Amino acid sequence: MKSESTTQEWTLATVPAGRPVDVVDIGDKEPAVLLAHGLRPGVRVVVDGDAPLGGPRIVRIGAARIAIDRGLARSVRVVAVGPLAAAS
Amino acid sequence: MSAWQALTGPRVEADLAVESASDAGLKARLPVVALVGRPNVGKSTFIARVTGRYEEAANVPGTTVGTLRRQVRVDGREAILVDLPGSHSLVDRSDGLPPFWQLLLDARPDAILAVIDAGNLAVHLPLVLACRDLGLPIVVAANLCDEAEAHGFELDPGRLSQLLAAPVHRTIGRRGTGVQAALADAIRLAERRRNLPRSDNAPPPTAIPPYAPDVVRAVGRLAGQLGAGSPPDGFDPALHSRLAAGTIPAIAAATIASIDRLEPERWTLAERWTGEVARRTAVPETVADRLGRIATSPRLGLPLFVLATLGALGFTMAVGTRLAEVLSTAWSALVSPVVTGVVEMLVPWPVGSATLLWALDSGLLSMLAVGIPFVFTFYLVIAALEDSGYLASTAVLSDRIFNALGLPGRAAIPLLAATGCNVPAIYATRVLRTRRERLLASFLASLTPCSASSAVVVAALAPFAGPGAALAAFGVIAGVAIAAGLAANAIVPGRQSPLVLMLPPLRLPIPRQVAAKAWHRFRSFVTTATPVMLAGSLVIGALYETGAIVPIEAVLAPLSTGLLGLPPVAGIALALAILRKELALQLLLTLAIAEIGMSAASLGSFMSPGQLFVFAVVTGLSVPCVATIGALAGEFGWRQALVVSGATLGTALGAGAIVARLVGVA
Repeated sequence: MKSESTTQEWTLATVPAGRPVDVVDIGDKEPAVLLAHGLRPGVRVVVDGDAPLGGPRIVRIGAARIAIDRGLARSVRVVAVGPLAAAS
Repeated sequence: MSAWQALTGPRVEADLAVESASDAGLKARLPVVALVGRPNVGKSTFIARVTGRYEEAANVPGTTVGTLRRQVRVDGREAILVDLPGSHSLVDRSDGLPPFWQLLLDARPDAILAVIDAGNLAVHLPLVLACRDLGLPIVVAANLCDEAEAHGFELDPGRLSQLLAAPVHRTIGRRGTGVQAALADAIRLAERRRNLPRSDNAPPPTAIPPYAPDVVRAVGRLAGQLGAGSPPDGFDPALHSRLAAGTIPAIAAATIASIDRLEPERWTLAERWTGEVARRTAVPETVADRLGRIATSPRLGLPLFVLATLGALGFTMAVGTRLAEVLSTAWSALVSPVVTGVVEMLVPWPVGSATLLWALDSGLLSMLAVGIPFVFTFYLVIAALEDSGYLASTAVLSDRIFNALGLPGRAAIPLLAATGCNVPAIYATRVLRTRRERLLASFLASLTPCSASSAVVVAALAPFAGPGAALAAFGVIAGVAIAAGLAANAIVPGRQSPLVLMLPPLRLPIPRQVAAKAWHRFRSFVTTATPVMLAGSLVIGALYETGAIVPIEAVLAPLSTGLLGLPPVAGIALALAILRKELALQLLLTLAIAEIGMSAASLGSFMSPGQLFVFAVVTGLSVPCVATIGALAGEFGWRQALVVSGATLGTALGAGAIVARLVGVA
């Protein structure tokens, strides 16, 4: 099982695209808005890509694609899931 | 009483209130079905299938912003269908509207028809659960089934129905599949609830969603407190007043007040249930999905956006110009002589008949020549873009640009609408979340040339100063609008809210629905604009025909000549453009002819290219028209409407004065 020390942590703004991660904390900037779009602790997400000009990150939650402002994404903490988590 | 029962037990719905005083009559006895769903789930399309015509609570792209009640008949059953704005949760609210639960409960529904995305249950079920917790009978329409299947989702409606203890229908709103059946079911439940004594109204116990026991207990406790008439300190007054009036049962009030604790439970449960009722098979990425990814990709996103925008504007301009020509020619040849003859025959007083003709001849003509070709064509384009799901991508693409102006990318939606007509654009600012953002976007919308003022810019410059000058004028207008937006963002206190936007999949628009949507909006444009146009024309005509315009001209001279370097009559044309923006040019021409004779028939001999350029820039930045000011007042109140209008006017005149000095006419 993965231990805290070997678990890789990012914010939603820094996690590489294509890497499945679990949300740990949605921060206190806009919790209600994030929650209304299904972003909550424990949920699995994958960053799909980035909009041009340093625009929003496109995040996949289940079947939905959601654009999230980069600054706001910075306040969302995520951890790696799967075998990769322990590897690093 | 167990916590289980606490959630289902006391249901004291005030059914009869609907039939009270004002609403008495047969209509009030009809059962009420409320249509609920998240934004973009296709409720408006769904309802269009039921009623056979497209309708929106307001002519706002992408959203239904108010509640709309209408009578429907399905399988011989009649009911009132209430269309509510799309909402993420019960406490969701947009500026100027009460929270969603209030809209929902104030509609006094007997049953709820919840429209959800069959391919995205985990996100859509929480709202269904929240409605369910209010104790109202629910029918679920699992919509967008075709798209869900294309993505490899297979829904087991029977199992979902068991879990929710509510009928579940598979529907495809765009094709009408399952729509009637779902609504008929909702009406049936609504009728039954209305006819049953209150005590029998509790849904079967299986209806209780298995939330965490401590949460259920806490909600039950709160319901007990509320039922006993002793709400905790700081309890939502809106909720309390409805509770005191008996329009909402204590348990429902408790679930609304406990939303912070219940919502995570609902999302967790929704995810678990989705796993139980939806089977997902891996399918290759659909073409639409690939396009959707490309639409927001860093490399191809922007070129595609530019292409789409130019295509949309080019199409509108090309079709609009051609149509305008045809209609104007037909009017002058066929209608104008008849109208003129009739008016002159009925009104023997020359000043009176001439004044009337301003309205009935040139007024109606301008409505026809601008309204149908430009506004309707533009509405068609917008509706097609909207139905394709591409508007959300434009919001994402332009997010960074709008951030500089203090707005999230969502502002692209009203501003795109503003290039058609500023009035619906002002309403469309409701897609923004805060009053500050709505005001900033409204200011930008007022500065955006609508199709009418764009037509003036093109028609004034292209023939006399060349198409390049027209393009340059649009460039100047865009630059000034951006500068003004930057300034407004710096001046107006407050912060911008970050963009969080669900991207709908791209889909091929269905022509019939696009046409219906555009027609609906066009109709409301015509009914709003025509009276203003006619009244405005009468005023202008009267001023002009009676000679009252001469002293006004003298008053405006310092402004038009001194500030902008234009002939005095141009000032009048600009001032009167407040009433009829699209006529600024025609007015200018008419007034010029009156002033200095037929030699002014060509604008080129009356004003220099530089002067025309100044005139075009000021008109394009727009003196806000009466209809726009009215829309602003309706949305924000008169004080703020005047502030926005004043700022727009100031910007237009300021920019005009600077341009006039740059091109050397003042």
